[in-house]
Amino acid sequence: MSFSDKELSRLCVEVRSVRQLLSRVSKFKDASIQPLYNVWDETLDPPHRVDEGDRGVSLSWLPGDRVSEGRVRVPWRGG
Amino acid sequence: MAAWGQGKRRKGESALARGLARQAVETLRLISEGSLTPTEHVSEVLEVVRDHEPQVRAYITLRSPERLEAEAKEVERRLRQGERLRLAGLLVAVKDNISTSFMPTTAGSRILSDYVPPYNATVVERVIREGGIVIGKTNMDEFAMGSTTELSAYWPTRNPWDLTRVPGGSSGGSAAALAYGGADLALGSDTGGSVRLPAAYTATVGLKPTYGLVSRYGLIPYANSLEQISPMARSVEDLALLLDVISGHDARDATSLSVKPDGIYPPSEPDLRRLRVCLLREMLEGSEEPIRDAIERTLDRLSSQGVEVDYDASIPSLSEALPIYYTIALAEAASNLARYDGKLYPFIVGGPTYTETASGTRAQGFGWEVKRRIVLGVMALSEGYRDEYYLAAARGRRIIRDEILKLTSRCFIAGSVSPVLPPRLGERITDPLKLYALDIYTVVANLAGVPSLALPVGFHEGLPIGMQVMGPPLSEPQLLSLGLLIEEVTGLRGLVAP
Amino acid sequence: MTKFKIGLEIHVQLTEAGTKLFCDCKSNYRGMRPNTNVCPVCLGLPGALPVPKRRPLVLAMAAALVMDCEVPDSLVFTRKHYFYPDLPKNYQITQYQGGGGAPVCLRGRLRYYVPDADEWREVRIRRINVEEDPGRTEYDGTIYSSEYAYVDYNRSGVPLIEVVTEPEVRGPRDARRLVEYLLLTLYYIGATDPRLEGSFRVDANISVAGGERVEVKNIGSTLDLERALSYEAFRQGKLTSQGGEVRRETRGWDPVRKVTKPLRGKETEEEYLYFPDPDIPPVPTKPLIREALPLTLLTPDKQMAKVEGYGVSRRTAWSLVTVRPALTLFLSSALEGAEPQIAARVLAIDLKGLLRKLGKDIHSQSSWPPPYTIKVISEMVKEGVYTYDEVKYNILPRLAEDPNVNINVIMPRRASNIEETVSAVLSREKKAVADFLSGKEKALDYLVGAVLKVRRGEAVDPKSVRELILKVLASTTGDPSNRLKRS
Repeated sequence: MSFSDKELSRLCVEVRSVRQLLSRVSKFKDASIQPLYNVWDETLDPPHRVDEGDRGVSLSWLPGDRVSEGRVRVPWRGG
Repeated sequence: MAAWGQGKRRKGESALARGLARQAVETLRLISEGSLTPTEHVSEVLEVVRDHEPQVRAYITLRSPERLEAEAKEVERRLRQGERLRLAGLLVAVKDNISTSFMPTTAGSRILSDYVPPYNATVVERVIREGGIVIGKTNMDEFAMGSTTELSAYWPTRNPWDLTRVPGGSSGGSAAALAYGGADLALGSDTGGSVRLPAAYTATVGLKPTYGLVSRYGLIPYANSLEQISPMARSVEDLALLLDVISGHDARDATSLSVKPDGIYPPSEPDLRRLRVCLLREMLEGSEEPIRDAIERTLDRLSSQGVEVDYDASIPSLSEALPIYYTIALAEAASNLARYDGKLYPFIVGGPTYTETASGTRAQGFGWEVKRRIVLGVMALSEGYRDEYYLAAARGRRIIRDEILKLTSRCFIAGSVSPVLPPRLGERITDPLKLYALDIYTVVANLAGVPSLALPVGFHEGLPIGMQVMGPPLSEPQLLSLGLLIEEVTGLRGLVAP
Repeated sequence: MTKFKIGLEIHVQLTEAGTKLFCDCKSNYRGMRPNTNVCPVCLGLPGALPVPKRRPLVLAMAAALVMDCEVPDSLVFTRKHYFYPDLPKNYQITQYQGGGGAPVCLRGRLRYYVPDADEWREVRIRRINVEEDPGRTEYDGTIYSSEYAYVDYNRSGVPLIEVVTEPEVRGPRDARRLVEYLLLTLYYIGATDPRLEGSFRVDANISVAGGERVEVKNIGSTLDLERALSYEAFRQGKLTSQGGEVRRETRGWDPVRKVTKPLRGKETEEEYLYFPDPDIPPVPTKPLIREALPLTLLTPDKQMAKVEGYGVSRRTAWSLVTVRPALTLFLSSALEGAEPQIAARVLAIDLKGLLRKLGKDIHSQSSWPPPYTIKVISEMVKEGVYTYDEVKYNILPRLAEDPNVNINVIMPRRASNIEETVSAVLSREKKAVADFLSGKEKALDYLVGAVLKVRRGEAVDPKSVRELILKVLASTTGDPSNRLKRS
C-alpha cells in the first residue's frame, strides 16, 4: 500500500494509540499456556472428496480485457 | 405488550396494525393456508421498501421487482408440486459479505466493486433450497470492520428508529432492513458483535451461533477464527427458524462441526426450574444507566418467573478481552485482505509494474479503517512483534475461553450488548479507540466460540436497548427458549420502527 | 580440493494424488487449456475455504515414514505471505514450524544408493512440509521486459512436498544421485510421476570453506542440478583461491548457457508473516500413518533387496529398479520359473539398451514383452538350446521391435530343426542311404556325422540324431527296424 505524507502522519498517531491498547496482551507473552488458534482445538479427519458436484468455474467475473487466451493478465514489467 | 420500557414512541404497534411487522412464521402460515401468495407478499414488502429505503439506505443492491416476482412465482410452482419449503416465499436480506452468484458481493468495499462471485455461499444455497427469496444485499462496514455501518465504502445506513443515529455494525444494513419491515429475515455475520450490536440498536434479534455450527463457506473473511454467519429476525421464533435452516455440517468448511443440536425450531418452552442466569459484572458495569436499568429490570422479571438469577458473577480476565480480540482479528484480517491486488477482481488501479498496481489498487480500493487495521495486523504478525502481540493474544484467548466455558457450564451469562445507546452518525468514528470500545461486551462470545443471543429489553427516549445472553457451546435450543421467555416478560417482539 | 557444503530443498508435486491439496480439481493439470482446472478454492476467491484432502496427506505421510521422520501428533498448516501474480491469495498454505505450524516430518534421514560407487549413503533430512503449488506464469519475451504477466491457475493448489536436507551432501554428483533416489522412492510409493514435465524442482545451497552460502534456485532436472553445483563449486573455489570473497546471494541456473546468474532483487530477508491457518484445524496423524504404512513397503531399497534375493548383483538389481516395468517383469517372470540371472541380464542390460537405442519408452509397460517370453528365453539359454550371444544378437532385437512377437516362433526349440537337417542330409547322401539299407552299418555312422557337421557348434546329441535317422528311414522305406535289430 502507499500513503501520502499527510496520511502517514495521521496513520502514525492512530497506530500509536491503537498499539497502546493492543500491547496490553503482552502480559500473556510468557504465560505457560498453549496459544489457542482454533477455538475448539478441534482436529480434523480429512475427507477423500469434498463435495458431490463439480465446482469448476470459468473467470466469469473478470472483465474481458483482463483475460488473454484464457490466462489472467497482470501488469508486470519485471514485477 | 408490556407498558414499560418502550417510552413514548410505541410506534411498533401502529406498524403492526399496518401488517408490516408480521413475524416471518406468521407470514409463512398465511402462505401455507393460501390466504397470502408469495407474489402478494413480495409486493407488500416492496411497498415498505419504497417508503423507507431512501431514508435508511439499508441495501447496497436490491433485486429488481421483476426478478423478485419471478422468484415468488417459482416458489408458488414448487409449492403446487407439493414441495415442503420451510421458508416458502419469505424475503431474506443478505449481508453483502456473503457470496451470491446472482448479485454483486462487495463486502462494502470499493476494492470488490462489480465482483459477482461464481458461486453461492452454503447458507444462501440452504435458504434458496427452502424457498427463501433473497431480496437484496445489505450495507455493512467495509469488510465488516466497524460497529456502526458508517464505514461502508458506499454510504452510511441510518437507524430506522432515529435517522440521526447509526444502526450499529457491521451488519447494520441487515438490522435496519428488518427494523423498518424491509425483509422477513436477514443474514449477517458476527466477528466481534456485528449482528448483536445492530440488533441491540434496532430492537431486533440476532444470534451469534456456536463457532462451527453454521458454515462459513462463501463468507468473505475478516477474522476466520472468530466469525460466524448469523441469523437475524424480529422475533426469537423467526430467528430459530432461520438458524435451523442454515446450520449443520458442511463438508466445504473444515471448521464446520459435525454435530447439530436437536430442537432449534420450534424453540421449546423453557424449563424454569432448570434455568440459571448469571449477570456478569464486567459486562454491565461500564454501561450507561438506562441500559443497566433495563437489563436489571428484565432479570428481576425473569427471577419473579422462577428463574434463578445470580446478580454478581465476575470473570476478571475479561478486562483484557478487547485487546486480545483486536490483536487476533487484525492479524487474520491483514492476511485475508492480502489477495486484493488488482489481479483477480474487477477493481484495479493499473500501474506499469505488478508492485505499483498492487499498491495503487490497495491504496484506492481500501478505506482508511481497513488500511489502518492491515498495518496493525501486519505488525502483530511480524517477526519482531509476533511473540508479544499475536502469540500472546492467542494465549490470552485460551484463558478467556476456558473461563467462559467454566461459567456457562453453570449458568447462562447475561450482560449488555453495547455500553451506550445508539450513537449519532459521526460520533464514534473519529477516534478508533472509541469505535473499538463499542465491542467491549460482544467480543467475549467470539473469543470463546460460544453462542450469544441479543434481543431488545427496553427503550430509552425512543432508542432501543438490547441485552445479550450467552450459553455453553451448542446450547442454542436452550438459549432460544430463554429468549422466548425474555420476549414474554418484556413484551418486545416483532417490533417495526415507524 | 576445496571443501564445500551442499544442502538441498527439493519440491516435488504429488502428481498422483488425484486431486489438489484443498479441493477436488485435478493434481495433474498437464495438457489442459488455461484456467480450466480451477474452482473457487484454488483461485483463492474470498469465502472459499481450503479443506485438506486425504490422499495427498497420506502420500506425504508415506514419504515421511520412509525417511524415518519424527511425525507430530497433528499436522498444522500455516500461511506464508508474499505478493506475486501466480499466488491467488498472496499467501501460500504450508507447514512452517517457526510460525506455529507442524510439518509432516522433522529430523529424518534418507538412505540413497549411489551406483557410481555401488554403495548406500545417507543424508539427514531437516524437515518435510506439505504445501500448495502456485499457478504458472508466462511472459512476452523475458521475465524482465514483459509488459504483462499471464497467469494460468491450473497448477494452483497442486500438492507439493518440500524435502529439506541438512547441508551435508558430498558433491554435485552425490546431490544428483540423492534427488534421483528420492524421486524414485516417491514414484514407487505412488506419490508422483517424476517424468511429468515440471513435477519437481530443486533449490540448492552451496558454500565453500570460508565463504558465504549461495542459493541456486529453480533447477528443473537432476542433470542440471549436478551441472549447476559443479559450476558453483568451480566459481566459488576460483573466487576464494584468488583471494575474493563469496557473498551471500541467490542465483538462478540457466540450463541453456549452463551458468548460474545472480537473481535480481529478493536480497533482503523477507517478512512472511507466518501464522497457523485459522481455516484448517489440526489434522491428527494417526489415521494417516495407518493408511500410509502399506505404501512404505514399496520403496526402491525393498525392491532391490527382493531382486538381490534371487542372487542378482546389486548393480544389476539397481538397474532393474530404475525402470519399473523391467522390475515388474523380472519379478513376475522369476515367479513363473524363469532363471533369475539370465532374466536379469536380459532385462536390466541388453533389452533395456536395445529399447533405448530404438527410442522406445522404457518406462512404459507396453515396450516390454510378457513374462512368459522372458521365461522361455532364460530356459533355452539355461538348457543350452541357444547361447546367450545368439539371444542377444538374434532374438532380443526382434523383441525390442515387437515385444509381443511369439517367442516360440522366433525362438523355436531346436529338436524340430534337427529333423529338418536330418531329412536334408538323407536326401543329399543318397549313396550312403542305399548302402545302409543294403546292410552296410557303417553308413549310419557316416550319416550321423554328416548331420552333426551341419549343426557344428551346437549342443546336438549324436544318439538322438541316430534314432531320428532310423525313424525317418523307416517311414520312407517301409520297415528298416529288422535291419536295425540285426545290426
